[in-house]
Amino acid sequence: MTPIAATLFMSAALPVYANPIPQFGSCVNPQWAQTQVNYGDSHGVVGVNKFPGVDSIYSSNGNTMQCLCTNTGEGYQTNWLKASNYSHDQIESLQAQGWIYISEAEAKDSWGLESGPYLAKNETYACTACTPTPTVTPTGTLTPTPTVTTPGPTATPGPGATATPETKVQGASANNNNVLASTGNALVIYVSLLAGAVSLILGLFLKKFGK
Amino acid sequence: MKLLARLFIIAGIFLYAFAVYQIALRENPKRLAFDNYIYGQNHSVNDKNLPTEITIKDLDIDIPVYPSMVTNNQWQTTNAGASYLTSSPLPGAKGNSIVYAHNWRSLFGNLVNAHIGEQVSVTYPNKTKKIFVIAYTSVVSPDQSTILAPSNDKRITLYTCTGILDSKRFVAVAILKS
Repeated sequence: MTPIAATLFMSAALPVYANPIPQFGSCVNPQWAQTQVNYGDSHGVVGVNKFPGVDSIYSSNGNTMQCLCTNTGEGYQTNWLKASNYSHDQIESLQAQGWIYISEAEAKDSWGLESGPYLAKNETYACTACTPTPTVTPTGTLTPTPTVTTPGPTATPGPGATATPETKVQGASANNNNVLASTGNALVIYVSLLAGAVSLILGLFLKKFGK
Repeated sequence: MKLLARLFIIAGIFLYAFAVYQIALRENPKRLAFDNYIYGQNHSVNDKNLPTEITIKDLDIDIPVYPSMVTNNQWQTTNAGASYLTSSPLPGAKGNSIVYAHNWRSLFGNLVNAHIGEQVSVTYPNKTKKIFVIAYTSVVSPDQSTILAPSNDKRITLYTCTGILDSKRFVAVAILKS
């Protein structure tokens, strides 16, 4: 009963898009093709600040995931969604969910993204702090701000590269429903307490006033 | 009407007792859980040289590991320890090994306090140990199954529930210490 209720709740709470938001994944285990690794003193995080660290860029179908591991071990994941794939109403809905609209000019000039407006959203994670090295990126650019290039067949994984979609390495294969295991019982507790209270109140009410 | 009222009261008391049991289970599963009771599966811990114990000293985690599978889209979980997903590589082998457990205090409840650099030890039946170092931590939504995807390195991905109503998953990724 609980999964059904949860599904109904989720389906009611989340808007359905004609063009669904792609699964960006997590910087903890990126699965998109890595297009750049940038080292340097200043990498921007949209809406936050600039930080020194290692900035890794992953792309798929025009969307981009930026993984910045700062020198202090704070990780910033920025999901860059190509806004041209969405209607005006959808963009407004996404903005209401915390996505930041980046105009075409800003995307190109400030962030080095390919043409078109973007929607960006940040998440945080923790990572192993790296001491910056003067090593040049695989594409030979040392950028003061995150520079994203169009994914292409020449993109070469740099240091720290992880599995790309083409990589065949043994891994978990039993996630057909694309959800992680439920490892908590908080919902069960709260639902039981609530249902228990309702049942008791109803029972006492009927006992007192029922004929 | 009186019978209906009694039924509601009894149901209410039962639901409260169930909630109290769940709270007690969450706080101290060793006290209330049936020994070695595994949801949906009977198996031996030492089958196929699978890992038997996972230890994170910094987090006061030292619990047995039981093999688990995903059958009919249901993840097997245990009240008695951590679950090792047998469809993932053995911890220490190349790829992404998956271990998960309830967020109860005596299981992975302290995992959410994990920090980068802390060591994770996995013990095998022959008492050999594989040492991993936590390299990433993150909070993800339950549908972010890419954390389970294969990797080129030798890593172990540990996760447990976190957030409001356990709606999120806390993930710690540890890389095999060379």
